[in-house]
Amino acid sequence: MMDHRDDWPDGLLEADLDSAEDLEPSARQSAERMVRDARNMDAVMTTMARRMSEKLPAADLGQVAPPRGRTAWKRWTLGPLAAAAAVAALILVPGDGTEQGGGPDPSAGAPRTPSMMAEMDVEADGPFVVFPTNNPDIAVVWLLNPKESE
Amino acid sequence: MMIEMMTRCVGCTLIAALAVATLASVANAQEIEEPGQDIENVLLTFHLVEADGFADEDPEISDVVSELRQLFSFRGYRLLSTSVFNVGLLPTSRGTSGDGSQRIIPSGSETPLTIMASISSRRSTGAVRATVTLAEVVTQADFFEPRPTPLLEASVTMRDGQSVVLGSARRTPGEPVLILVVTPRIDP
Repeated sequence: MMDHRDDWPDGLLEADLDSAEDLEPSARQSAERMVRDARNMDAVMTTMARRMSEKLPAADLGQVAPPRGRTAWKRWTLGPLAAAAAVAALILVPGDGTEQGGGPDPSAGAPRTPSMMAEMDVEADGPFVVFPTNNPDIAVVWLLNPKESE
Repeated sequence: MMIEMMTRCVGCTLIAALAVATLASVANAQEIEEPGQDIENVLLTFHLVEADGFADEDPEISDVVSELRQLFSFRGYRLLSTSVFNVGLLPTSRGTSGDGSQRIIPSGSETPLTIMASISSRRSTGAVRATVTLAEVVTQADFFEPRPTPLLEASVTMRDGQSVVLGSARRTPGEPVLILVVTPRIDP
Protein backbone atom coordinates (compact mmCIF):
# COMPACT_ATOMS: atom_id res chain seq x y z
CA MET A 1 0.00 0.00 0.00
CA MET A 2 1.46 3.25 -1.04
CA ASP A 3 1.52 6.14 1.35
CA HIS A 4 -0.78 8.85 0.08
CA ARG A 5 1.98 11.40 0.73
CA ASP A 6 4.71 9.42 -0.98
CA ASP A 7 5.05 12.10 -3.61
CA TRP A 8 6.34 14.58 -1.02
CA PRO A 9 10.01 14.75 -0.20
CA ASP A 10 11.25 13.12 2.98
CA GLY A 11 10.90 15.03 6.16
CA LEU A 12 7.67 16.80 5.48
CA LEU A 13 5.69 17.49 8.54
CA GLU A 14 2.15 16.53 9.24
CA ALA A 15 -0.03 19.58 8.93
CA ASP A 16 -0.95 20.20 12.56
CA LEU A 17 -2.42 23.58 11.92
CA ASP A 18 -3.21 26.17 14.51
CA SER A 19 -6.88 26.63 15.07
CA ALA A 20 -8.59 29.75 13.85
CA GLU A 21 -12.19 29.27 14.86
CA ASP A 22 -12.98 32.95 14.70
CA LEU A 23 -12.56 33.06 10.91
CA GLU A 24 -15.06 32.32 8.19
CA PRO A 25 -14.84 28.73 6.92
CA SER A 26 -13.46 29.76 3.55
CA ALA A 27 -10.97 32.17 5.08
CA ARG A 28 -9.97 29.55 7.63
CA GLN A 29 -9.42 27.03 4.87
CA SER A 30 -7.27 29.50 2.98
CA ALA A 31 -5.29 30.32 6.10
CA GLU A 32 -4.77 26.65 6.83
CA ARG A 33 -3.59 26.05 3.29
CA MET A 34 -1.14 28.93 3.49
CA VAL A 35 0.25 27.71 6.80
CA ARG A 36 0.57 24.22 5.44
CA ASP A 37 2.32 25.44 2.31
CA ALA A 38 4.73 27.47 4.38
CA ARG A 39 5.52 24.51 6.62
CA ASN A 40 5.97 22.21 3.69
CA MET A 41 8.26 24.66 1.98
CA ASP A 42 10.21 25.15 5.18
CA ALA A 43 10.61 21.42 5.64
CA VAL A 44 11.72 20.95 2.08
CA MET A 45 14.23 23.77 2.27
CA THR A 46 15.58 22.43 5.56
CA THR A 47 15.99 18.99 4.06
CA MET A 48 17.68 20.41 1.00
CA ALA A 49 19.99 22.61 3.05
CA ARG A 50 20.98 19.65 5.24
CA ARG A 51 21.74 17.50 2.22
CA MET A 52 23.78 20.21 0.58
CA SER A 53 25.73 20.96 3.74
CA GLU A 54 26.54 17.28 4.13
CA LYS A 55 28.21 17.34 0.75
CA LEU A 56 30.36 20.38 1.41
CA PRO A 57 34.02 19.58 1.77
CA ALA A 58 35.72 20.61 4.98
CA ALA A 59 37.80 23.23 3.19
CA ASP A 60 34.65 25.05 2.13
CA LEU A 61 33.53 25.25 5.72
CA GLY A 62 36.71 26.98 6.75
CA GLN A 63 37.83 24.16 9.00
CA VAL A 64 41.24 23.67 7.43
CA ALA A 65 44.02 25.33 9.38
CA PRO A 66 46.62 27.21 7.31
CA PRO A 67 50.06 25.59 7.13
CA ARG A 68 52.80 27.20 9.17
CA GLY A 69 56.22 28.44 8.14
CA ARG A 70 55.18 29.70 4.76
CA THR A 71 54.89 33.40 5.39
CA ALA A 72 58.21 34.17 3.71
CA TRP A 73 57.30 32.07 0.70
CA LYS A 74 53.97 33.84 0.48
CA ARG A 75 55.60 37.24 0.66
CA TRP A 76 57.97 36.53 -2.23
CA THR A 77 55.42 34.73 -4.33
CA LEU A 78 52.21 36.63 -3.82
CA GLY A 79 53.79 39.99 -4.50
CA PRO A 80 54.91 39.23 -8.06
CA LEU A 81 51.73 37.28 -8.69
CA ALA A 82 49.63 40.25 -7.65
CA ALA A 83 51.61 42.50 -9.94
CA ALA A 84 51.20 40.09 -12.82
CA ALA A 85 47.49 39.78 -12.13
CA ALA A 86 47.17 43.54 -12.23
CA VAL A 87 48.92 43.66 -15.61
CA ALA A 88 46.79 40.81 -16.92
CA ALA A 89 43.65 42.53 -15.69
CA LEU A 90 44.59 45.71 -17.53
CA ILE A 91 45.02 43.70 -20.72
CA LEU A 92 42.04 41.42 -20.30
CA VAL A 93 39.40 43.92 -19.24
CA PRO A 94 37.29 44.67 -22.33
CA GLY A 95 36.98 48.18 -23.63
CA ASP A 96 33.82 50.22 -23.71
CA GLY A 97 32.12 47.75 -26.02
CA THR A 98 31.69 50.16 -28.90
CA GLU A 99 33.19 47.63 -31.27
CA GLN A 100 30.08 45.53 -30.98
CA GLY A 101 27.89 48.41 -32.00
CA GLY A 102 25.36 47.91 -29.28
CA GLY A 103 26.92 49.54 -26.29
CA PRO A 104 28.64 47.63 -23.57
CA ASP A 105 27.55 44.11 -22.87
CA PRO A 106 25.84 44.25 -19.47
CA SER A 107 27.15 40.80 -18.63
CA ALA A 108 30.77 41.63 -19.39
CA GLY A 109 32.87 41.20 -16.30
CA ALA A 110 29.88 40.13 -14.22
CA PRO A 111 30.39 36.96 -12.26
CA ARG A 112 28.49 33.97 -13.57
CA THR A 113 25.89 32.79 -11.12
CA PRO A 114 26.66 29.23 -10.18
CA SER A 115 23.23 28.62 -8.84
CA MET A 116 21.28 26.02 -10.74
CA MET A 117 18.05 27.67 -9.68
CA ALA A 118 19.12 30.96 -11.22
CA GLU A 119 20.24 29.29 -14.43
CA MET A 120 17.03 27.33 -14.80
CA ASP A 121 14.81 30.28 -13.93
CA VAL A 122 11.85 28.04 -13.15
CA GLU A 123 8.35 29.44 -13.27
CA ALA A 124 5.23 27.60 -12.19
CA ASP A 125 1.76 28.43 -10.99
CA GLY A 126 2.39 27.09 -7.51
CA PRO A 127 5.27 26.69 -5.09
CA PHE A 128 8.11 24.48 -6.23
CA VAL A 129 11.56 23.30 -5.23
CA VAL A 130 14.57 22.76 -7.46
CA PHE A 131 16.70 19.87 -6.26
CA PRO A 132 20.26 19.80 -7.53
CA THR A 133 21.52 16.27 -8.04
CA ASN A 134 24.89 14.59 -8.14
CA ASN A 135 24.58 14.46 -11.90
CA PRO A 136 25.08 17.96 -13.37
CA ASP A 137 22.93 16.98 -16.34
CA ILE A 138 19.90 16.15 -14.22
CA ALA A 139 17.80 18.60 -12.25
CA VAL A 140 14.58 17.93 -10.37
CA VAL A 141 11.81 20.50 -10.26
CA TRP A 142 9.17 19.44 -7.76
CA LEU A 143 5.91 21.30 -7.73
CA LEU A 144 4.33 21.43 -4.29
CA ASN A 145 0.70 20.90 -4.95
CA PRO A 146 -1.34 21.26 -1.75
CA LYS A 147 -4.00 18.96 -3.16
CA GLU A 148 -1.46 16.15 -3.34
CA SER A 149 -0.95 16.16 0.39
CA GLU A 150 -4.58 15.82 1.30
CA MET B 1 70.65 36.12 -4.67
CA MET B 2 67.18 36.81 -3.33
CA ILE B 3 66.75 39.86 -5.56
CA GLU B 4 67.80 37.85 -8.58
CA MET B 5 65.24 35.17 -7.78
CA MET B 6 62.58 37.78 -7.29
CA THR B 7 63.37 39.42 -10.60
CA ARG B 8 63.28 36.09 -12.36
CA CYS B 9 59.96 35.20 -10.72
CA VAL B 10 58.38 38.50 -11.71
CA GLY B 11 59.64 38.09 -15.26
CA CYS B 12 58.24 34.61 -15.61
CA THR B 13 54.92 35.65 -14.17
CA LEU B 14 54.62 38.60 -16.53
CA ILE B 15 55.40 36.41 -19.51
CA ALA B 16 52.74 33.94 -18.42
CA ALA B 17 50.21 36.74 -17.95
CA LEU B 18 50.95 38.15 -21.39
CA ALA B 19 50.55 34.70 -22.95
CA VAL B 20 47.18 34.24 -21.26
CA ALA B 21 46.11 37.70 -22.39
CA THR B 22 47.06 36.93 -25.97
CA LEU B 23 45.07 33.70 -25.96
CA ALA B 24 42.07 35.47 -24.47
CA SER B 25 42.23 38.20 -27.08
CA VAL B 26 42.29 35.65 -29.90
CA ALA B 27 39.28 33.84 -28.41
CA ASN B 28 37.44 37.13 -27.98
CA ALA B 29 38.12 38.11 -31.57
CA GLN B 30 36.72 34.81 -32.78
CA GLU B 31 33.57 35.37 -30.75
CA ILE B 32 33.08 38.78 -32.28
CA GLU B 33 33.62 37.44 -35.79
CA GLU B 34 31.25 34.53 -35.29
CA PRO B 35 28.16 35.58 -33.38
CA GLY B 36 25.98 32.78 -32.05
CA GLN B 37 23.57 31.40 -34.56
CA ASP B 38 19.86 31.09 -34.03
CA ILE B 39 18.63 27.77 -32.75
CA GLU B 40 16.41 26.30 -35.44
CA ASN B 41 15.38 22.92 -34.11
CA VAL B 42 14.96 21.35 -30.72
CA LEU B 43 14.42 17.63 -30.44
CA LEU B 44 12.51 16.94 -27.24
CA THR B 45 12.46 13.57 -25.54
CA PHE B 46 9.82 13.03 -22.88
CA HIS B 47 9.79 10.12 -20.48
CA LEU B 48 6.56 9.76 -18.58
CA VAL B 49 7.33 7.92 -15.36
CA GLU B 50 4.98 6.54 -12.76
CA ALA B 51 6.18 6.38 -9.19
CA ASP B 52 4.92 3.20 -7.63
CA GLY B 53 6.08 -0.15 -6.37
CA PHE B 54 7.84 -1.15 -9.58
CA ALA B 55 11.03 -2.68 -8.25
CA ASP B 56 12.91 -3.51 -11.46
CA GLU B 57 15.34 -1.11 -13.07
CA ASP B 58 14.45 0.33 -16.45
CA PRO B 59 17.73 1.05 -18.28
CA GLU B 60 16.17 3.89 -20.26
CA ILE B 61 15.64 5.95 -17.12
CA SER B 62 18.22 4.41 -14.82
CA ASP B 63 20.29 7.60 -14.49
CA VAL B 64 17.27 9.66 -13.53
CA VAL B 65 15.92 7.01 -11.19
CA SER B 66 19.21 6.76 -9.34
CA GLU B 67 18.97 10.47 -8.56
CA LEU B 68 15.31 10.29 -7.63
CA ARG B 69 16.00 7.47 -5.20
CA GLN B 70 18.27 9.82 -3.26
CA LEU B 71 15.56 12.43 -2.99
CA PHE B 72 12.26 10.63 -2.58
CA SER B 73 10.91 7.59 -0.85
CA PHE B 74 8.98 6.02 -3.69
CA ARG B 75 9.45 2.28 -3.86
CA GLY B 76 9.98 2.21 -7.59
CA TYR B 77 9.65 3.97 -10.90
CA ARG B 78 7.97 2.63 -14.00
CA LEU B 79 8.48 4.08 -17.47
CA LEU B 80 5.00 4.53 -18.96
CA SER B 81 5.86 6.07 -22.29
CA THR B 82 8.61 7.71 -24.31
CA SER B 83 7.73 10.53 -26.68
CA VAL B 84 10.06 12.23 -29.08
CA PHE B 85 9.13 15.16 -31.23
CA ASN B 86 10.92 17.95 -32.98
CA VAL B 87 10.02 21.60 -32.52
CA GLY B 88 11.05 23.87 -35.35
CA LEU B 89 11.81 27.41 -34.23
CA LEU B 90 11.01 30.47 -36.29
CA PRO B 91 12.77 33.83 -36.01
CA THR B 92 11.26 36.42 -33.72
CA SER B 93 12.40 39.85 -32.62
CA ARG B 94 14.31 38.37 -29.68
CA GLY B 95 15.47 35.06 -31.06
CA THR B 96 13.48 32.06 -32.21
CA SER B 97 10.40 30.29 -30.93
CA GLY B 98 8.04 27.46 -31.72
CA ASP B 99 5.79 24.89 -30.15
CA GLY B 100 4.67 21.33 -30.51
CA SER B 101 2.53 18.72 -28.87
CA GLN B 102 1.93 15.02 -28.87
CA ARG B 103 -0.91 12.92 -27.61
CA ILE B 104 0.06 9.77 -25.76
CA ILE B 105 -1.77 6.86 -24.23
CA PRO B 106 0.36 5.55 -21.37
CA SER B 107 0.59 1.83 -20.91
CA GLY B 108 -2.13 0.51 -18.68
CA SER B 109 -4.39 3.47 -19.29
CA GLU B 110 -7.19 4.23 -21.69
CA THR B 111 -7.37 7.96 -21.10
CA PRO B 112 -5.04 9.90 -23.35
CA LEU B 113 -2.62 12.53 -22.14
CA THR B 114 -1.13 15.39 -24.08
CA ILE B 115 2.38 16.73 -23.81
CA MET B 116 2.76 20.30 -25.00
CA ALA B 117 5.96 22.28 -25.29
CA SER B 118 6.47 25.91 -26.17
CA ILE B 119 10.12 26.67 -26.88
CA SER B 120 11.99 29.93 -27.22
CA SER B 121 15.65 30.71 -27.49
CA ARG B 122 17.92 33.70 -27.56
CA ARG B 123 20.83 33.97 -29.87
CA SER B 124 24.15 32.68 -28.56
CA THR B 125 22.83 31.58 -25.18
CA GLY B 126 23.11 27.92 -26.12
CA ALA B 127 20.05 27.16 -24.03
CA VAL B 128 16.33 26.99 -24.64
CA ARG B 129 13.43 28.03 -22.49
CA ALA B 130 10.55 25.60 -22.52
CA THR B 131 7.08 25.78 -21.11
CA VAL B 132 6.11 22.15 -20.69
CA THR B 133 2.57 21.03 -19.99
CA LEU B 134 1.29 17.57 -19.24
CA ALA B 135 -2.46 17.61 -19.70
CA GLU B 136 -5.24 15.13 -19.42
CA VAL B 137 -7.66 15.07 -22.31
CA VAL B 138 -11.09 15.30 -20.76
CA THR B 139 -14.02 14.24 -22.90
CA GLN B 140 -17.00 16.50 -22.46
CA ALA B 141 -20.49 16.50 -23.89
CA ASP B 142 -20.94 15.37 -27.46
CA PHE B 143 -20.89 18.78 -29.05
CA PHE B 144 -17.71 19.89 -27.30
CA GLU B 145 -14.25 18.87 -28.35
CA PRO B 146 -12.07 17.11 -25.77
CA ARG B 147 -10.42 19.74 -23.61
CA PRO B 148 -6.89 19.30 -22.21
CA THR B 149 -6.80 19.84 -18.46
CA PRO B 150 -3.28 20.63 -17.23
CA LEU B 151 -1.90 18.23 -14.66
CA LEU B 152 1.60 19.64 -14.61
CA GLU B 153 3.02 22.84 -16.06
CA ALA B 154 6.31 24.66 -15.62
CA SER B 155 8.67 26.91 -17.53
CA VAL B 156 12.33 26.02 -17.36
CA THR B 157 15.54 27.12 -19.06
CA MET B 158 17.48 24.04 -20.14
CA ARG B 159 20.88 23.31 -21.55
CA ASP B 160 21.47 21.01 -24.48
CA GLY B 161 21.18 17.45 -23.23
CA GLN B 162 20.15 18.38 -19.73
CA SER B 163 17.35 16.27 -18.27
CA VAL B 164 14.81 18.13 -16.20
CA VAL B 165 12.55 16.05 -14.01
CA LEU B 166 9.16 17.65 -13.49
CA GLY B 167 7.00 16.30 -10.73
CA SER B 168 4.48 15.64 -9.63
CA ALA B 169 0.97 15.06 -10.89
CA ARG B 170 -1.88 12.70 -10.19
CA ARG B 171 -4.87 12.09 -12.36
CA THR B 172 -7.00 11.26 -9.35
CA PRO B 173 -6.10 11.15 -5.65
CA GLY B 174 -5.95 7.36 -5.65
CA GLU B 175 -3.67 6.97 -8.65
CA PRO B 176 0.12 6.83 -8.61
CA VAL B 177 2.19 9.93 -9.06
CA LEU B 178 3.26 10.90 -12.57
CA ILE B 179 6.67 12.40 -13.30
CA LEU B 180 7.71 13.90 -16.61
CA VAL B 181 11.35 13.93 -17.66
CA VAL B 182 12.21 16.24 -20.53
CA THR B 183 15.53 16.31 -22.38
CA PRO B 184 16.19 18.79 -25.20
CA ARG B 185 18.67 18.25 -28.01
CA ILE B 186 19.46 21.56 -29.66
CA ASP B 187 19.94 21.51 -33.44
CA PRO B 188 20.60 17.75 -33.44
